[in-house]
Amino acid sequence: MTIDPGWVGILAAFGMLLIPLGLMAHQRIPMIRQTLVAVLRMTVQLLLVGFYLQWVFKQNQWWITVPWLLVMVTVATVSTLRGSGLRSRLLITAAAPALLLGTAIPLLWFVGLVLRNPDLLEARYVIPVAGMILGNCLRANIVGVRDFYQHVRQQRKAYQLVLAQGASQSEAVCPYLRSSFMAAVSPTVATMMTIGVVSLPGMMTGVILGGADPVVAIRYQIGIMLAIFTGTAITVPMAISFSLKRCFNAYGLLRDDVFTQP
Amino acid sequence: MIRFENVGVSFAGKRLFHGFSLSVGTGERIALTGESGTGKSTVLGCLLGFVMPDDGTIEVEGTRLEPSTVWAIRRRIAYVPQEADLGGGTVDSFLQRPFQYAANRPLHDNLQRGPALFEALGLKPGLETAAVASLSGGEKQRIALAAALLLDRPILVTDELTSALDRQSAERVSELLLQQQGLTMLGVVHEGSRMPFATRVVEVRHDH
Repeated sequence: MTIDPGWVGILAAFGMLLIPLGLMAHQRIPMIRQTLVAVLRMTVQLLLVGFYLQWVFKQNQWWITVPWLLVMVTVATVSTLRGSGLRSRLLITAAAPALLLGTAIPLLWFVGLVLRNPDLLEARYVIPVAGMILGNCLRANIVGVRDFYQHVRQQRKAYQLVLAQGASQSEAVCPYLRSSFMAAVSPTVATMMTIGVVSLPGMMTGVILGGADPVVAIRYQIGIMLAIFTGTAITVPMAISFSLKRCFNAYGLLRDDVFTQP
Repeated sequence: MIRFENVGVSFAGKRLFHGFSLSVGTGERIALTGESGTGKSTVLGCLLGFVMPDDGTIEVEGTRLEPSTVWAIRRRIAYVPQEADLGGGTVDSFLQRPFQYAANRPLHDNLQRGPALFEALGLKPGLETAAVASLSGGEKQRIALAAALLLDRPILVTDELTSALDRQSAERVSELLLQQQGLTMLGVVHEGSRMPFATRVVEVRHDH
């Protein structure tokens, strides 16, 4: 049986804040204001999302679920572009479809084949699972896309030598794509290596606290980890491949205006 | 074979050179000289499609250099850059790399000429298995030249090819290049260095 913390419990949780805030004040760490703003934002955002999701789950209509998923992808796309240090107008047409496909494929696979839920768009499953896949794809995308373009820029002479040796554009970028892919998926691989030993993941904890059998929670977690890995492995090469045409000129050279910083 | 016609290049709004014209015939070996900063390496960059001229035209074997032709033109030119980046693997992996590209795959057997080229360039036998990181600057330059020659391209473009070489190694390089029948060469030569294999010396100036 699930214990609902209730609003009194949440007040108790806020009371816990007195410890870190007291430590910050004692050590004169100038982060108290920033922390309070962050706590306030987290509370308001989660309350709004909570009430909204309560309504969305109750309605369970595809025309509400799908636009919400698109909003999530749009926000993730904007975050990817901001975090990558690259020009948005050159990358938006690459990052958005890559995130959309990178999330949709493992999401539908998970709901349809792992959970075997006949309703592929049931809001209760689709929205939280999409959030987890998308969050990881977003992080991987920022790392992968940034790593790719930075390496091509830093190794401009080596890249040009490869072009001079007769490589096509796709052959020339292949080693950079490979190393960016590794940089992007390595954190997920590392997480899979230690999961359950070093830490219990948030989702699994949530399912257990929700009253489910730990074995059921583990099955969910295995499925989710594989969906996250698949999502990141799809999104990163796709985002880079989709962006090549806009970020390289017709001579196969990286455009100077790709980066926001010279 | 190679024709530059009134080529001009600017960087950040500042003219590097303009009105540069040069015709190179088949089998000619041109040494490009000039004060530092006049744009000698930039001339090579223009020929390879790495630098976009503001004006003028470049032709290679009668084909005008433009986006639709640059890929085919690059495959007619072997390039040895100044301080070539040979990557992080072994010498052998650097030599093999170009033959993995679809355009060079039919030439894969050329790798068998590697040991003879190494000998002609005075490179130690067995160096193929050495890590690139362990090589001296002179060894890297000669290996980059060997890799370029293995591609059997009709044009060789080099940037300060002998800058890191001692006199004896530089002479070996000259000797080897003189033996390449029909090879058209365009090489940047730094001030004070020699290019005895050159048939013509062309000076690059800011103002032509």
